[in-house]
Amino acid sequence: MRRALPLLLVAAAGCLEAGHGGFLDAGAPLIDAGTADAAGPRAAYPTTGIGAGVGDVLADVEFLDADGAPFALRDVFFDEAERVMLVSTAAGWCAACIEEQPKLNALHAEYGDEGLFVLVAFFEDSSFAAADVRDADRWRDRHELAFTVVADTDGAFGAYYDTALAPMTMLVEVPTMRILSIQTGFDEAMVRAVIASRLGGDR
Amino acid sequence: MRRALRWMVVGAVAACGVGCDDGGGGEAAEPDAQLGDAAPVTPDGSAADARPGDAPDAGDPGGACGATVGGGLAWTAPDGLAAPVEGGTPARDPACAADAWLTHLRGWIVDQDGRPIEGAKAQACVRRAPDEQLNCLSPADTGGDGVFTIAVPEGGGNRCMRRLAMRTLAPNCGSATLYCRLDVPAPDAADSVLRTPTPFTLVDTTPAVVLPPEGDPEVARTVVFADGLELDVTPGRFYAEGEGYVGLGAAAVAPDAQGLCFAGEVADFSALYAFYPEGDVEGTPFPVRLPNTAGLPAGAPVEFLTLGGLDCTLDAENRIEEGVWAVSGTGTVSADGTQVVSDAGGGVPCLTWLGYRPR
Repeated sequence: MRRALPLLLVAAAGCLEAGHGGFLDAGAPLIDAGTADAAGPRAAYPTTGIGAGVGDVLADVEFLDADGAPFALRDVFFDEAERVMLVSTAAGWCAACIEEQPKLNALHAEYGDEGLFVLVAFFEDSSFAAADVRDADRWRDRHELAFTVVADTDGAFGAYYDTALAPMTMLVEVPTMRILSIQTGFDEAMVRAVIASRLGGDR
Repeated sequence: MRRALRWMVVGAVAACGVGCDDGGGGEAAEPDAQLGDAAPVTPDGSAADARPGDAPDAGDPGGACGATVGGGLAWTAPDGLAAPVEGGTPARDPACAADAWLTHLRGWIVDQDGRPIEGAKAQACVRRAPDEQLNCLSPADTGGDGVFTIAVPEGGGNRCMRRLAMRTLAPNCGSATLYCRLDVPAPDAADSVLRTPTPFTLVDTTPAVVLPPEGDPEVARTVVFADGLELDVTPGRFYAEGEGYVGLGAAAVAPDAQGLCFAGEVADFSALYAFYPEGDVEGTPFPVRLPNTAGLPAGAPVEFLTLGGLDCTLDAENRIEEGVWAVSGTGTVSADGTQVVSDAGGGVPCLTWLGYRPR
């Protein structure tokens, strides 16, 4: 079954219209999560192939979370239980982001125990000021989010998409930290298809 | 001065009907005019009018809240509105044959006297076609003539759209954030630049005249605004960024006032109010009592309508979308005929704009 999963991902990618976001294309070598996990414990955060596009390795970035504690992407990488990371950018001025939060909570509840790590990077408040820890905390509380929220004060994730649009939804294969997809907006069906293709095999 | 100006503009807006612009440009209120000037106070007697980022006086060339430019009243479109957009306009995507195709949004922002505001923000959220996914565009700033231009990015398929809502504001400046739904052009429209036919008018609010100390945020208390509007606020249930509870302000606005982008939707309102800062009320709406300025008979039933904003929930399941007026509860004119009182469980579900009308 697991060998068939990458094909599902390719099929999902084929459903996308051009310009609606990026996915690993059909020609890209897809990494099976099981294979990657089988390569051994995650000894060091990947340092080769780092970039901002689909198929590239996501650089390790550090933030402060909504409690003010340090949080780095390597924290997700080194947690062997995590297999796919969903990163969503959010801003207080973004009605679309507000609409999206319950859907993220639902995905976390549904797939969290199976290896989905959901991360919201809150980057601006409703007055367009750079977000701080307090803003991230308020966002988390306001939407009763059960997953990690960080203050992306410096707009680190802005390097990965057209910041003229929000939100951005990125899926990352945690064992390799390769970017599986980057979308503007939140195409729930597509996100679910990718997550299911990566995690659903154990069900 | 700030206080005097804010009282003055509330009075000016309340008195301003459609006839204000007979000649294509209204008269700016005299800066020294003080309509109903009075010092807002808290119960302990201290002044309640203290907000960061006070707006500059009319004609002030700068300031954190942008400048309102004196002299050049702009109820009519400034020249900059019609200017070509930078970089030209890309051709329509052939795949977008049945929906609106927009590459740019252009409009202008004024204060309630029709003066352009420099440094204000305009932001749009679009429901793209055909999947109606909601995406929001980064804000654009207004220039000296109050004109802004938002470029719709090529990626994401958002140029092909079904619906469009605008949010305009001068952040942290005491004016009510304005939300408007815009009519998207017909699919066969030749121009991919949407130029709004009327300005976006930011109404300055007046700080509450009675603002009890925050104290226990979970305890309701009555906040009284300048014209007699009373709102039973539980600060702990008011979700707003910035000043939040301590910055509360409101303005009475004539439903037929100049420059309201939703004028057609509020024409039958008996009264209309704008709030600052915008924010959502978690749980049960805040009870409200409004002066019965329309002279409705005692016992008359009314319905309240609320303008949807960034974060405006009617209940646990339902939000009011940006720019949408939705019925948010009912009320009744009091036995003595002086107030319109929200019925049990009703009131203000979010602080944006509120109106009522007979039902």
